[in-house]
Amino acid sequence: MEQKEYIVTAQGSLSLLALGHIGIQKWREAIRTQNNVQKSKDKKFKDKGDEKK
Amino acid sequence: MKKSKILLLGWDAADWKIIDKLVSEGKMPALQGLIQKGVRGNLKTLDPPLSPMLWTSIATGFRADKHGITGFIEPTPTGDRLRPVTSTSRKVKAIWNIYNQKGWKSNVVGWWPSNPVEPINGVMVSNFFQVANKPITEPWLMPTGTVHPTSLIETLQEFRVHPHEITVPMVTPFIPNISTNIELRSDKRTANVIKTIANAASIHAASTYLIQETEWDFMAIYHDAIDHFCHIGMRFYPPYRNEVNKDDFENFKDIIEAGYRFHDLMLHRILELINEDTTILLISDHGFYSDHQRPLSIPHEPSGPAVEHSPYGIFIMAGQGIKKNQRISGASVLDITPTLLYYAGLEVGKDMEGNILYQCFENPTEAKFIESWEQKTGDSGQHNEIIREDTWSAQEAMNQLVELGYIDAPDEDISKQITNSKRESQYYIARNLINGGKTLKAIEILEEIYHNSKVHRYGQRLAMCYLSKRRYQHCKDLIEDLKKTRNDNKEDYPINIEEPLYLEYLEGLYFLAINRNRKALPILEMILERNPNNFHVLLNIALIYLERKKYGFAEKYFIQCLAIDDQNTNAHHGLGLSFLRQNKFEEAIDEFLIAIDTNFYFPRAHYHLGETLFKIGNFEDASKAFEVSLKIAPKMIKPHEWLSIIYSEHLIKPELAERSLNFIKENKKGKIVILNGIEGVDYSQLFELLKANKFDIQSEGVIDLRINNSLTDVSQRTSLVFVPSQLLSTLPSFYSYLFIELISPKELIINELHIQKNSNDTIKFNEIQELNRIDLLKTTWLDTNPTVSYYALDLPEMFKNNEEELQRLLEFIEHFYQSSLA
Repeated sequence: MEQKEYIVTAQGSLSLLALGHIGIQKWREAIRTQNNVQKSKDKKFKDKGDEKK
Repeated sequence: MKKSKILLLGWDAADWKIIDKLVSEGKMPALQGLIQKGVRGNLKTLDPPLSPMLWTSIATGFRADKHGITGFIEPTPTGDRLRPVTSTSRKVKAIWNIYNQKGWKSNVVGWWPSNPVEPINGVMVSNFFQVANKPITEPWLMPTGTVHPTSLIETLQEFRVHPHEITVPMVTPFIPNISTNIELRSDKRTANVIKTIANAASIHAASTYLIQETEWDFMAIYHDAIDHFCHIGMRFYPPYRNEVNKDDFENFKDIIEAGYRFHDLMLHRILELINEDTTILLISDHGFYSDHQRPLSIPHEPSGPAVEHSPYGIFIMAGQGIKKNQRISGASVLDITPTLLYYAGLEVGKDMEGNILYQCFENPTEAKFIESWEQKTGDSGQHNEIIREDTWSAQEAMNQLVELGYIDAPDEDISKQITNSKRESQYYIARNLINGGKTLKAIEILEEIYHNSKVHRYGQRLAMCYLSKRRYQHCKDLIEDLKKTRNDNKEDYPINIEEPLYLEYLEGLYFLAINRNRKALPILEMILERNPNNFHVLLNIALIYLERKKYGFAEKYFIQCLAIDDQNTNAHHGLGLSFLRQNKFEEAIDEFLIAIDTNFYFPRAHYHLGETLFKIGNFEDASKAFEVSLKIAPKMIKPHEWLSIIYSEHLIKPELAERSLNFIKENKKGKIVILNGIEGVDYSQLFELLKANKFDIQSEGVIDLRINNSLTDVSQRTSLVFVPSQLLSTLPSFYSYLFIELISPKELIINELHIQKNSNDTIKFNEIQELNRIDLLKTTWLDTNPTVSYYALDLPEMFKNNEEELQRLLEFIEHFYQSSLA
């Protein structure tokens, strides 16, 4: 099968859902990654706040 | 035939009208490619067009009365509540059970109904798999019986998409304003679109996983999303209609197109995953009205939304040994299982109700048959007998236990609900039987449920059955009964719906059936005025004009019919006939060809095509058309009459001419007019009237079997025979009959009985029973002789207004003598 590259964002898309189980796995990975990034941002923000204090 | 993998993909309610538009605009490229690689056609649905019944017919080759899935719901075995219909109610083997017996591995995803899953040699994911039954904050458990084998539950449950996970970019193609209009996000229609996207994504994800990660020979995947998108959004599908709220139109007009395009994306992925050696069938169980035939409102009755379903679904088949880029016709949902068995090189059950679609194959071979797969032993992967049960019978058993006091009765409301549902389920079976030509069985069911409920829908359907079985008096009485209660029966149609005037329509059809066109026409025209898009009314008006040889008027009405439904075989055939009789041969040929394209198994279209081709001197093609009509209806005589001329005078094939002439000699029947009515009435006045008005009755040509004549006196020279109902069944079969029923008002019949009895006593019960018995003899004879022409003659009416009534009778008799089987 021809390999294609997709950019997967946490927002997802119909095309991603149409990829089937692979699309859903990748989409959830993207959500997890985004959540982790957000968490680490939140943590850094919190840490900076603590430092200022 | 070489064994290849088979993928059966079901798109509930997919419709060519929308697909063809989108394909022509380049918006469904995957589907376009598939169509070009294989054959396409209409797939005729069954009545009622209800999906669980239809998808079970698709998977089994049987109608609902045999396969046992009779609606959307069923009682639980304990009878204390209703539940969605389950796989345990299916009484026959599905295609995957038969493949199982042959050692094939099958995957089945989402089929309706398939819960609880069957222990097949492969994987089954039921139609409960995708249903989110809890908010996303709570654990989303897999209901019992959702996945077989259970070892796959953990893997597959990760592929389910919860509606709360669906994001704005996913919904935007369906509802573009959703990104800017926050209010739209809480709209019920938006919520339904979101749920449908999530469900489709779940089914698709389970399917792609199983295609890729399991070994399989046969795979069946069912998507209900197109049907759901259509029920949500078809009201708003362009073009705009005045009855629709303008804001709603702007917000929801893209749902349908986006739904189809989403399916095209999913199809694209499926096609990427399967191998070249996989044969794919893409089908739908019915279509969906998307044009001016869209109903303005939905009837307030169970399964009311099915009024939006149109009678033809889609059929596409592509793969090894399948014709390329061609159209086929005549396929029905019942044909899928026989065709799949044939394609796999397996025997087709003779008891199956569909046909093999040989026309799909490049080199069709001879099929193998067995009596039935039901008796064939082996591991079919079905539920065991204990789980499989008739839940309606189980409900009856429960009722008996309640009556005996062994168990408590369920709550009264629930009990009533179950009774109503059972009645509704019986109604669906009756409709299915009518659809399958088993009208007498349907009458039994409808008489019982109408008698017990007085629900108008049941009565109307029963009246139609009486008409088709020529039980005209029953029909008339029932129409009167329905008229009496029409104001009490508000169930059928809400006040704001286009008034279907169904009773008037029935009355119009009744008058048509008893050859009172002049009475029928104003009724039908009145209905048409109120319902300009009522196809059936238009068709009947057109047929009346055709019969009255007013071909210009007939043409006009058939064209109006086709403006509503351009796929209707009868309308194309009728229009063709109107053209033919006006010597517009080229136009006639076009119409007959379209009629054949919409329904290949319609012998009269082939016959009239042959007649038209003959008239333009194309004898070669005319002979082919006549031969095809004979393949479909071998007992027709008229094609042989034309063929005998073509083969002897034009194509010079004396052997074939001889064959046709012999057939005519052996089968052409003499024609005899029968009079039948209450005994004791003196009909000599009628005979005299007929004699006095040009009807050529020789004295030796009139035979009255009530007196001293016998059946052996009936011969070709006979003009009229009076036959009492008791003797109808003894009439020889080698004549064609015109049956003139002499209708007398009830009072006249009763008077006659009094005179006969020479008594003023009231009519006794057993005398009425005797009248009923005689009536039954008559209707039974008419039932078993469907080609007998019928005419109802109202004697007192004729004597009152004798010129017009008599003229009509004479015209009818003349028409009978001139007509033929074609």
